[in-house]
Amino acid sequence: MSTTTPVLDEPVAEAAPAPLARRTGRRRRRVRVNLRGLAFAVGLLLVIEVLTATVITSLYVPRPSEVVHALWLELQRGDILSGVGTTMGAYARGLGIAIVAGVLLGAALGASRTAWELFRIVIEFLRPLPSVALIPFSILLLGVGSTTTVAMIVYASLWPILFNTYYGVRGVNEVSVDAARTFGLKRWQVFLRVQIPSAATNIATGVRVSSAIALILVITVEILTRSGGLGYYIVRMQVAIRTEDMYAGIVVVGVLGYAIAMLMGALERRLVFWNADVLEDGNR
Amino acid sequence: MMNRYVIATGRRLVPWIVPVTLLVLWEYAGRHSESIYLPPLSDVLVTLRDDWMWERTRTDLLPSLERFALGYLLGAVLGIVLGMAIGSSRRVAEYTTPTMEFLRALPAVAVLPIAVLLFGLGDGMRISIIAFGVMFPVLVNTIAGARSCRQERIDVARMYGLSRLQVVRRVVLPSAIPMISAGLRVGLPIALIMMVVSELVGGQNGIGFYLIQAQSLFNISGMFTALIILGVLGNVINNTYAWVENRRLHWASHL
Repeated sequence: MSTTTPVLDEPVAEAAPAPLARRTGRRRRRVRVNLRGLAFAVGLLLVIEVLTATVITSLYVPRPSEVVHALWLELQRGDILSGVGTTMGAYARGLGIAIVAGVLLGAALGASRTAWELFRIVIEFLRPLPSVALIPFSILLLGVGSTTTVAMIVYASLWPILFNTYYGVRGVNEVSVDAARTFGLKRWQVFLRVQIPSAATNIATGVRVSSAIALILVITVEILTRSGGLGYYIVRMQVAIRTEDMYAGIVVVGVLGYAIAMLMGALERRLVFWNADVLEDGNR
Repeated sequence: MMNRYVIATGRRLVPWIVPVTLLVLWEYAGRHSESIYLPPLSDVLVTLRDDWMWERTRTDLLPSLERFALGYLLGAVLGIVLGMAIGSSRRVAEYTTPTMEFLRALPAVAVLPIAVLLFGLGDGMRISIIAFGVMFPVLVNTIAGARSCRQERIDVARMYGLSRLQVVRRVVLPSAIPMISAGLRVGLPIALIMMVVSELVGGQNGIGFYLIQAQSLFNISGMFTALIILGVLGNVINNTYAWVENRRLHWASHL
């Protein structure tokens, strides 16, 4: 059991693929699934289209075709795209800082039992605190702008990375550490060569979880502070009751979220490939 | 003998060194700094007593908790029911999973403006947005959990003459429970976040409302008390869930 490490806030263990599917070849299966998924999504949109055209005639529920049209116009005008630029800029900076800080802090806490004992209570208290509650503080202290946005992203996405790194470093098999020591590696060498690599899968999980949290935070801060970006775009359209444009903005946020999730999954499979069997077997 | 006892107590005190030092520093820095942004700890505690015993607890904390509970329950039930319906059939799951994944990747805050338009600035908006945030992690996890049930088990149950519904209830659901529980755990902090955010936007009561009110009055101690309340709340909710999960799902720890 010493090699098993708890993975925190794992949203969903990779769905256990059917054994049969693996034999039929991965690429073909993926294409087929996407087609079916696409068919369902398109069908759902068509149903909503018909419903909104006939039964539901609320101003606040536009027809999907109107939303697509609005999205097309807005993309040409460039309003949404500049919003995406602002949002993703803050997102990348915040998540980048959080990854570096989270891995360093988590590794330090994992390496030294004393450090963990000292900071345990503070960390455990701060982690479940809903990060959005700090936004009003951040506005007072840092003002409205990208500093606040980035600071909030860093704060919120730090925790999953920090904790996963900590548990990864802590959960390293004692035997491998002892073996490395026997071979004459120094303590810091053991740390770099044994503990960090075997914590990499946990770190990757933490980064994946944080990549979703960071998006939530950036949109929230932009909605609350109206400091530009996609979140601000959405609220602006809401206030102007340009409902189609508002939905178009939300669709873009969804696409961003989906793209980030896909990208993180792909990166994880590529970077920590030695964990592939773990991922594919579902339950460890 | 004495010595060993002293060492043992000393070790138990170690985790408290940093928190206590920080609190003392906070008090000291608060007393000696000119900045209004750092009220000393004692002021914050006085505000905590004045505001949250018990007037604001009744007018703000309880409504918040009520919306939290209702939204969380609604989202969890919807997620589990829909997830079981989808996950019990391989075909349905294949068709719907990408759409569900897309909706899960959509941050619930982005949907907040829709909820405001549809439901206005009342409790309906807040509860529905909490439910939306909770539903999709639970839903996607429930689908994955239901899919993880071995086909042989289902076949055996079918052979013994159980109806489709019975198979879902007796075979698929139990084997999905560890994953459902993981989804429910992920949903808790999301529900808490959505609770606060939905109250920051044009609320009439609630912790988030208290926070934003304190901010606009430059009542910094008040803001700190809201943070303390939320921190305690987050800890209590998380730990309670972990405790329950530990007791009820210990059989799943090997999965």
